[in-house]
Amino acid sequence: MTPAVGPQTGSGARLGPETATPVEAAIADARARSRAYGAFAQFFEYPDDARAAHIRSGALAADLVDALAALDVVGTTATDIEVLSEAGAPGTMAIEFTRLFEAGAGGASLHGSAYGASGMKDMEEVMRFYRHFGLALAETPRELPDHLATELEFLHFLAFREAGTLAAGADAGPWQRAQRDFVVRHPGRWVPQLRRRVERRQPMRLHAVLLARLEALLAQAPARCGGVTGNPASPTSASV
Amino acid sequence: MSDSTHGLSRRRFLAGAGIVGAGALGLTLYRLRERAPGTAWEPAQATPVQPVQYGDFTDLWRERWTWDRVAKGTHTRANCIAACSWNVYVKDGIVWREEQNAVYEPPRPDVPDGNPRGCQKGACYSDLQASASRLLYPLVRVGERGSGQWQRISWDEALTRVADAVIDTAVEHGTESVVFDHGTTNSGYGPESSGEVRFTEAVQTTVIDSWAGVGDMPMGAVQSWGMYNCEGTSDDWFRSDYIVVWIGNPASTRIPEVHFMHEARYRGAKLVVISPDYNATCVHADLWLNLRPESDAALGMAAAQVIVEENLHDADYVREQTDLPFLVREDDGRYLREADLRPGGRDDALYVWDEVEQRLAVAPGCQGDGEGGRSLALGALRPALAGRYTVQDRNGRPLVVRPVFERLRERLAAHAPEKVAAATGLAPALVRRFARELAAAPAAMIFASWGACKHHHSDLFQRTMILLMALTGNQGKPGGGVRVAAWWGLDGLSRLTTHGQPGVRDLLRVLPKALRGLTPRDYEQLYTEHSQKTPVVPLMPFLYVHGGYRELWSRPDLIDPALPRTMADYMRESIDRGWIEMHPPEDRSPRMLIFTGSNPLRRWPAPQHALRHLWPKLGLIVSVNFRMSESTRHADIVLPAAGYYEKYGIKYAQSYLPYLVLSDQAVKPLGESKSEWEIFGLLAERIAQRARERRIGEVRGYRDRPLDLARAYEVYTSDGRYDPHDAGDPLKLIDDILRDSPSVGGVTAGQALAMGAVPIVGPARPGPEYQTSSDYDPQDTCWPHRWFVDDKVAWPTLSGRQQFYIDHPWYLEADEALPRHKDPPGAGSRYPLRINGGHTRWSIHAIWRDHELMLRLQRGEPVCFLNPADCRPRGIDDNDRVRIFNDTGGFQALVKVAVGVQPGEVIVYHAWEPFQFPGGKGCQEPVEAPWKPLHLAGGYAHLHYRMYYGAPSHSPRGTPVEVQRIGAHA
Repeated sequence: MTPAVGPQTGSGARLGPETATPVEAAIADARARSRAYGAFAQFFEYPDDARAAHIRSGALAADLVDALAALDVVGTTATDIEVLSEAGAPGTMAIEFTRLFEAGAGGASLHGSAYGASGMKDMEEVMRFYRHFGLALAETPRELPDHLATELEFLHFLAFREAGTLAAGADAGPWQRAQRDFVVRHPGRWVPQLRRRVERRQPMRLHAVLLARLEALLAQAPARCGGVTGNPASPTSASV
Repeated sequence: MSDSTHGLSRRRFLAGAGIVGAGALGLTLYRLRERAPGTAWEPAQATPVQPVQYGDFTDLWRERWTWDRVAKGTHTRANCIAACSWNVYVKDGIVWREEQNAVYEPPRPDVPDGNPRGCQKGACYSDLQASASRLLYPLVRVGERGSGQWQRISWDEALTRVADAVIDTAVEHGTESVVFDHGTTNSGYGPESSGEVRFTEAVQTTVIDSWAGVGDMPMGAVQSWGMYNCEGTSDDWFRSDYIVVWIGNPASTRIPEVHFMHEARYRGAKLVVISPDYNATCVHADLWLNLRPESDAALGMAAAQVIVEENLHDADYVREQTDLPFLVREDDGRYLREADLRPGGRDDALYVWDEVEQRLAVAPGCQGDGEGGRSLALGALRPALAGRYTVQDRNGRPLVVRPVFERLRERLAAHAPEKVAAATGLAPALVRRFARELAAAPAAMIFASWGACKHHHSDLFQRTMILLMALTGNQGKPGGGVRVAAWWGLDGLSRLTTHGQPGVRDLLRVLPKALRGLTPRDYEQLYTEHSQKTPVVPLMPFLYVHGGYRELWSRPDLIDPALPRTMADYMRESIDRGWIEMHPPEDRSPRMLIFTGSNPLRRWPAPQHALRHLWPKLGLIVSVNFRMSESTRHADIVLPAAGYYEKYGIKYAQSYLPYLVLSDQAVKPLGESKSEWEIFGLLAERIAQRARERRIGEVRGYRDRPLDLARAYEVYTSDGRYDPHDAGDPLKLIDDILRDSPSVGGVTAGQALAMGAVPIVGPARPGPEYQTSSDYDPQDTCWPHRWFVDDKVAWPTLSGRQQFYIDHPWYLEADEALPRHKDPPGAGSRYPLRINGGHTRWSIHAIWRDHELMLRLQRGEPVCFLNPADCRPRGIDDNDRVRIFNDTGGFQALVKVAVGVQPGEVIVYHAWEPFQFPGGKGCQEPVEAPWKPLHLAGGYAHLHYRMYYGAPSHSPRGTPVEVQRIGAHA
């Protein structure tokens, strides 16, 4: 991944307190989160041949692991790059993706509405988040707004805007609070359930590690986004 | 798989990979886009142009939504016996909610109005449409069938694979080896169903007729009336004085209609429920007759015995409307026929004894009455109901004859309440009370719909119900008679098919009759002729011959012991005589299966037999569906169908509601799913294209007649009239249908879709299953069979009457010429318990069955209901897990201990998907569903098979099983 705007961060390595101002550290943190969410979003897209090849090349894994390391995400190790590049033979990942996440019956859906008590209400709130921040669903793929890749893309967008706003010296509070609330009420709430369902289906190592890292990232997100204030109370989590 | 298939451009992909130049953090948006590009945010600009306000999530809820659109929708292919219009709320291309569209006007001021309509399933369809079970992309199987391993493929590749498979099958085996099962779910009046009809016609596939195959064929009505459609508007129930719900549970299965039964009680009507178990409908009953399961014919005959013995029957009605005065020979038990009396006499001219003239008279309205069998009006004739008469046969020999009524009296005497008390479990005094109340009511009705068709001897049950209504003169009166179901016709429905309007030759052929007015018999002849032009085969015989069920259904313990011959004997005779035509022919095999919405492995009896014997024969199995059903899991290619709110459609017009309900396309289909209209159009097009590319000449089509598959698309589109590529094409078809249908008052598609529910304003031409047999008055409730009772039109039976004596040789040898009680084949089984049940309240068949919102309203997983008396000796407590089994198969379920269940019953409400059970073994595993060989009978006027009429009925109820505790629910 390329360096951020502003003070050089080299390859994205974490800026220690002895080298960065609080604002610089905050910018670097937001950038890392944006990179991480963006990379995660790509991992949760259907792995057609081109995407699977890109995963197999290791570039996406390297980008993600670099960002996770910069964020001190629990469990991140150097071996994650190798695991997150294990796309298998051509077609393997696509078959596995469909087995785990699609094709209905018995799968572990990538849609958040499958995990809450509130179904469409959760999806509606997701859509309100997007609208509030000036976004709409793209014409393709025609999928519902609570797909994990979409929600991660939204977080990628929010963190990107946070970084840019901080760099401009403006108040990044709205971007941070939105990330906090969105994570707590949406993917942070249901990704742990997704991970448990996937575990029961004996997934490829790639997906097991991916979901573990994502869960850890989401768990720390509220604290990194200015702490938990107000009432981000999430709907009751359904038992898995 | 190309990137462009998912709209992922190489440029955006590389940008997302970070190769964007030094110094910049990339923003990659693929699933999201800016609402107003170039204003608030620029992708390349890190800083927003304008600051954003956000305090916390409650800010979002302060922003009120106005809907982008409120469309009118319904659930066209859900096969629910209702039709309900909904307001469907759309925002940002998503349906968020629906509300009942309460627009229905009562026809007269003294009946309640029908609002609101719409059950809890419909009220959450928006949730189901967006659920995880949706199929969004074409899939090809990559592991073993049923292993759950799939890979996405493009539509282009999917269509080519399927088209080539169709062509390969057609070349090698003929098109009849391509089998199409549309089940009964997925029926509609519009483009959503026309697609599959046109496809099967263009390719001349075998079409499985599942009407009887799902156990929905009222054979007792077929045997008695020569028809089974028998219902009017549900508000007519309000006008009944004595409502008998007999093998039914409308509180669960007629949610929009049942209130008319309950409201009738406010005007003094009584509600009687005849059911072994205390079901939801019993809650409002004034009288509950908890008979032993499958003793319904015994009860019916006992009540009839009381009515006849106490002279409570309507003799005039019986003389005119029934065959009870018809004369039967004492020597061979057959009707007296003209052929018996003189050489060259007709075999379908039947006789009564005229009490006025004291002589034989040909019965008006019988098929051979010399007047075309048009009218049953007696005129001055007064047929005798009693007596013994001697006539001379064609050889001068004496023939002794008696009216059917005499024979009926004798049969009824054997079913007196005391004599059948052991069978019914009912006190004779209770049966007498029921019979007398029924006879005394000014208007009495018996609600006995599809649930009353699913036992082995359901036909006998229904014949006795019809007998009761005929004896008391209730059939054909407002608030009276047996009520099954009916639909409003639409003349324009011929547009659903490639045949379209009748040709000149067809019209000329029926012109002489048409000039006098076609009778129900004439229409039935037309439907039968039409059916004979298509390779349609009823499900049970298909499974017997091709599905691997021959051995199972030939077991002696699954056959009525009163039958003198084996199942194989009856099947052989039926096929040899052409009563049932087998498709593909017996000497070929099915090689390919395409199913839409149908869920064979969920609902076929003992589906493990099909998996073991039929599935291996099939080189390719294609599922066209919007959800991953059990059967779809065992397919090879999945073509994703659009959801109900994602396509245009017309709900089949159940007669309960005098409206035609339509569904607009509220939103575009999710993912890459498509409407069935488009799917089958594209498939027909691809078949034609591949046939040309591969230089395939003519193949063997229906009955091996030459068929040019290169013309498949021309046939599908009616020579280019339609274009499935055009998003507006379905509207064109709907316009055609409505324009041809004066019964809906000339509305256009646009007007109808805007209304959502269009009033029925007049009658329609009868259709193969769409008739109430009554003229329509929009200012009144509608009840069935007025043509016969008021207008004296002959019933479409041999006798021209409601026929209770069937002298078909098979019925004579089975001793079922007259109705009677018979124990089911499983009566002597060593398995002491019986699976019974009904339609679940919580789904429409398997649709919604695994939906969380519905599962939360019940125990959430498969459950059976057992009486404490059956639980105690087996050590079973509430919520224990048990195994329910017999020699054929078994499944596991939780137990709900329920005192309302009759001892001996295991109540399992239907449609759980096998994947919802431990081990994937569903509740059909032990269900042998022995069906009656008598239902193969043909060659007898109204006893014949044609598409959607007749045929052996699937009989899952009453399966003998044992129940064994496994353990406490974990």
